[in-house]
Amino acid sequence: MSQILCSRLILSVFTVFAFFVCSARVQATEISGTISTTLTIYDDSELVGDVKCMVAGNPCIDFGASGIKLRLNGFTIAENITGCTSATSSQDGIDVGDVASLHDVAIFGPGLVQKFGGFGIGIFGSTKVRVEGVTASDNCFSGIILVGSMDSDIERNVFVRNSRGSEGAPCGGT
Amino acid sequence: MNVYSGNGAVPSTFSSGATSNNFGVGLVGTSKDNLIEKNKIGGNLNGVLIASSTQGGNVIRRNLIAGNPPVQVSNEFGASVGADIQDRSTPGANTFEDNRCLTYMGSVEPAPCPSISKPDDDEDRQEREIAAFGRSRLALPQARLINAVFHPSGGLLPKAAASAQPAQTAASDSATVTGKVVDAACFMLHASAASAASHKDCGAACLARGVPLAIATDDGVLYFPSDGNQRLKSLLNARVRAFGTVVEKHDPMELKMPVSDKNQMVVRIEGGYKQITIESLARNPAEKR
Repeated sequence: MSQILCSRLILSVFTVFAFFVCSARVQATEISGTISTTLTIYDDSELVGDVKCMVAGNPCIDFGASGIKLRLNGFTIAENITGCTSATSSQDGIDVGDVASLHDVAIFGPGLVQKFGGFGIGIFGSTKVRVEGVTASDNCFSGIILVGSMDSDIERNVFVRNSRGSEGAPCGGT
Repeated sequence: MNVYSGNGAVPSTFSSGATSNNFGVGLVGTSKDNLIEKNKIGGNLNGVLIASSTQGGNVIRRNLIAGNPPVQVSNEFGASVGADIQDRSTPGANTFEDNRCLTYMGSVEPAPCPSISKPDDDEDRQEREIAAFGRSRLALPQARLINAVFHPSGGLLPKAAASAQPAQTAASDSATVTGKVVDAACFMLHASAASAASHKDCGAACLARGVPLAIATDDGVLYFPSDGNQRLKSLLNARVRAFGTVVEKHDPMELKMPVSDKNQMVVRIEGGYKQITIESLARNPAEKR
């Protein structure tokens, strides 16, 4: 009898756990407002409003897992940096793989990533990263930079007035 | 295609020893084997910059690269400070093909710029013909066929196109569909060839590599089975009658067709197609006779 009850309990716990796991995968994380410390995303996420970034010395949004997507949904991520210096160079808009290598992640526009002290989007040591339909403008360093990454698709993006002040580093659109 | 404009700042203390190393598109570090294709690049300090440290094998082709840097920048600076293509790599290490550009700084001879016109090449014509032909084969009036081009296998393909948009599906209806089982990618390009008995071996080879099958009705409408090729694969080139639920799908779909061992052709459908969930399937009695 107790064995049967135990089995039922385990089954119940497993069912509840599975429900939460499934729920987390289906429900996209919604992002808007002001970000003052780096927001690391672990699931599919989307902007539901403009984002103002005030993160000193670190990226605004950071991908924390492989196989996930960030949709900008036509909104803007901006830092509104006033002066470009080497001290602002780590203040990227969106980073992929700056902590650990990632694969199969995507950033979908339309959406605007602008006026960051570093790169608009930084892709580091990652594989199969897709960036599509994004406009990157007025960033101090490159609009998008790919460092040590492979098999990436950068498609239908617009890069305008980036590398405003790259302190001599080779920077630009992509 | 990406658009690059107005990127890069002129160094304020530029001298003969300094470098104008900002760009629209830059290949820096040890970049190699990249494809920079069909972009619009204008008004940047340099349009395309290739650093001396790159490892070669990069292909820069079919881009529009002009107005780099803007004339006002050059006038105010008073010296040559950038170019449409700034190439610091070893001559011959990278390939420039069919770009439209005006100014070049580098060692490649003959210089890839200026190049302001070129004859209509086969690939352009092929793309137009494929697009025109494909449009006439699609079931829905708003559908359009794009990006039917040859890509090297493993190259920069829009692999995630089908998942890039949320799936949209119209209301479904039960229907009986009668037609021929065809290799869908080939059918959209050359309907008569795909339906010919002589194409069966070719279609079987495509099927073995994963090209989707579909039922083509006599009026040219394709119905894609919702469960893939499993039920149709034994009926390639046969006339069949299928009963099931038909829906109009509105999310993009890609068909990939192998072209030799090293290349594949990608046909991307945007705007919709018909999908059938087959409940019963039989070889058409007329075919058995």
